[in-house]
Order: sequence, then structure tokens, then C-alpha cells
Amino acid sequence: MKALYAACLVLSVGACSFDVPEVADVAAASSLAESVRAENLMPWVEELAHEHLNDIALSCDGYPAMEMYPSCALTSGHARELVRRTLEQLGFEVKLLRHGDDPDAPVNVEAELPGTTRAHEAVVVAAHFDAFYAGADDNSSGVASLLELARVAAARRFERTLRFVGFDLEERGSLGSTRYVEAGHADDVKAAIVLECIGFTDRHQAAPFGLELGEVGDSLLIAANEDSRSMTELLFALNNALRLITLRAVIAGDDGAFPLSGALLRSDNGPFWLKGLPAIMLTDSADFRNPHYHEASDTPETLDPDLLAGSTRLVAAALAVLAGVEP
Amino acid sequence: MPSICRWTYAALFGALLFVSVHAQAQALELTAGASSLVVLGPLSGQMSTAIDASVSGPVADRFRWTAGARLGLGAWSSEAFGRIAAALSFGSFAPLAGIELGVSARADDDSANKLLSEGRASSREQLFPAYVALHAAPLRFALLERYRLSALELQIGTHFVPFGRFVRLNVQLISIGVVL
Repeated sequence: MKALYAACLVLSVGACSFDVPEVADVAAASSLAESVRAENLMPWVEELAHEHLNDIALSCDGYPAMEMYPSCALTSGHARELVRRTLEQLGFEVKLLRHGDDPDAPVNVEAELPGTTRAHEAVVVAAHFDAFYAGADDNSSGVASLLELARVAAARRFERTLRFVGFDLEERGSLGSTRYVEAGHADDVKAAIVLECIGFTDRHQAAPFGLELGEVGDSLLIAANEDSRSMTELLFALNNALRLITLRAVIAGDDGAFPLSGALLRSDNGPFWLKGLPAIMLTDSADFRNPHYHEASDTPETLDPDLLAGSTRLVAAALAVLAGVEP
Repeated sequence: MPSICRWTYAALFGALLFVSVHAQAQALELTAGASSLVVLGPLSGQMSTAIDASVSGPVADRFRWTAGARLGLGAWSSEAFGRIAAALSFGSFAPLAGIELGVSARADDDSANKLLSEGRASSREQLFPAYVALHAAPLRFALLERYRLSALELQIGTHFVPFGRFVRLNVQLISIGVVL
């Protein structure tokens, strides 16, 4: 996720006021959420961080090098291999999707669990596996959550197809997700949840003028647009019922693709929004909270395992409803 | 020929036709100037300068029509416009305010920055070249009866489709006109 430009958010995001629906099958959602093993998450973060630190940085020709964007410290290959290997070990048939022949071509990782009755409708869980330096919060936290969700899902069956996607080169302007969506791989998506930095808490929380994120940096933020408002309401309902984490949301008007809300498009949810596909981004609002954001100090010991676990349980509960977990 | 060019030239031809029909009956004003345009998109922001020329005349009491073109200093960055504005006159002080409709290719992004380049392209996929803008000329003066001088004309607008995705902020730095 790139720097969220404070001034650009002020007029774009309405107050988070919406109806929280009743969830019919809280028990099924709770059951899936409880299947998440918190103790699995941090070892995956540590392994991913280790892989990033032992990888060779990608070429940064043509990309700017700035304080908030250390373009020459980006790695992805080893992390991709770890994601692929882990998903295969969980029993998935894994596809490596190379988009393009150019040297910068991203290679995404995709694994899916075919739906039982509505296989032509897909629910996506996605996280980008490229990272600057060790990339513990950004975005090994999201990838670790994806892997745990895949492990939990692998033991169940769902009405809709459940698809786990590791996106490459988000830090190069969401290159992997842009080409993935442009290639039509998301045409059947009914809901997409993008995990983008979900493991850091702090006593302090900054926020752009006009946006209420609270004073303590202990919450998870949902970035949504009108196409994904109902998903946001569902997550709030589930979180209220299961009392998992402190949750906040910003909902951009219409498709969210406006100059003043453009900062919300600067992650892998952006390509989905531009195609009118319902997607939300879950984030700890990294650059408003995390002093290690895009720094060499973004290491596993700086993370809060409780937020990471709670966020993963919330997504598991949402998947139970969105994809229709079977008894 | 890119479709934007066909639109531009069609609009220019329409403007010229309009002018030729009305030219003999009205006291026309020819104007030339320079402007700066900022186009803000969800993943982009760019500024370009342009030189422009326009012709205008009275359309009713206190209203003026204008037709013209801006030639941006970049590839395929021309635009054509028509405008209806309410005109006031307080001695030599002659401000204008109105609505401008036009076709423009200036939201195209020729940035060499690779970062977000494909996202920027994706955000422009549905872009329709026609735009609408509110226009104000608060510092416009009539000089020596035949001449007009205007500075810092302001304009804010957006392309019709997708409405609001690209915002145009145009500042007419200066324009000089002469009444024929």
C-alpha cells in the first residue's frame, strides 16, 4: 500500500454510517473462525520475512527511489515459492500465472477450492507477497493470514468457489492484480477480500484530516466503496457477534475511483474497483500507524499477533457466509 | 486517426460553422491567451500549459457565446470548446461567468513514470473525451472600447464519463481580445 495522501481523503470518504445486518448463520461463521490457529500465523510471517531477506532484489530500473518507496529493495521470488509450496502441501492444485513476457511481468499464485453448488461464482482472498526488506507487516502479515485461511478452508466445502491469490508486484503499482483482473481472471468474482498489512498495533494512530481512525492504533480498517458496502456491513455484523477486534471502515462513494479517494485504490483492491467488482481492503492503515512502514525495521517482532489472529478469524467468518460453508 | 482527434476536429468545424453563420450580424471579439490545466485522476495528476484562440459574440442581453480551441504543449493534447456565459459591465470592469462544454484529449497521461502506469491506463479505459466545466472570468476589463484584457480566469470541470473520475482545474493566465 502506498502512502495515503492525507489531504486527498478528506472529502472522499463519508462517515461510516450504515446498517449492520443480522447474520443468519453465526454458528457456521463462528465455527470457521475458531478453526483458525493463531499459533500458525507468526511462524509463517517469520519464514516469509526470512525468505525476503535472503532473496535477490528485483531490478529497479525506471522506478523512482524515494524515502517512502525504496524501489531497489523489493523482493518477491522466494516468497512466491513459499506460497506455492505451502498451498500445494495443503492439497491445492496451484497455478502460477505469468502475465506478460516483459522483464517486469508479475507471476501470481492462484489456488482454488471449487464450489459445490455455485462453482461459477468465486470468492477471492488475496494478499501480495512482494515486499521491501523483510516486509513483516507489509505484507507477510497478509500472506500468513491467507495461508492460514487456506488451511482452514481446505478441510471444508463451500457452495461458491473459494480462490486464494497471491499477488506479485503490488509495490510496483499493483502490477500483478491489475494484469490479473485485466486478463479476465476475476470476471466471476462476487466478493474479494484483500489483506494488506494486518498485523501492527501502536499506542498512537495518525489520520488524515476529516477521517476518524481513533487515537489508539489497535483497529483494523476496511476500505470499501459502494460496490462492497454490503461486504463491509457483513464484516461489522460478524465482528459484533463474535467480538473479535476493533473494526473501522471508510466507504468511498460510487466506485471510489475519484481524485480525492484515489489513495484507497493504491492496493490490490484498486483493479477490482475499476472493473466494478466488489472488493474490500483490510489494513492496519500501515503508513498512518507503523513507523517501520517500507523500512528495513519492518520485522516480525514488531507485529501484534493478537491483531493478526483476530483479523484472520474475522475473514474466516466472512468466508463462511460469503462462500457458503457447508455443514 | 484516434477517435479523440475526430471529436476535436468535428467540434472545431462546428464552432467555425457557428461563427460563420453569425459573423456578419454581430460584433465579434477575437481572443488569444495562455492557460494552465491540471487534470486530477484517481491515480494521476498532471499539469500542462496551452495556448488558445477563441471567438465570441453576444447571444442575448448580458449573455455571450464563445467558441475556441486550446493547443496543449504535448502530443494529442488539443481541445475544442464552446461556452455560454453571463456578462456584467461596471464601467470598464466586465466579468463573465458561465458553462463550458468541450472535447479534450488532455486527460491522457504521457508520464514516463512506470509506477502505477498500468493502473492509470486502466482508470482511463472508459474515459469519454467530452467534458463540462464551470467558468469564471472575475478579472476581465474593457480597454479603449475595442480591447479586452482578462487575467486568472478559473475553470473547474469533469469529463462526462466516468463523471467525476477526472477533474479539470484550468487557469487562464491571461487573454487579450479585440472587438472586430
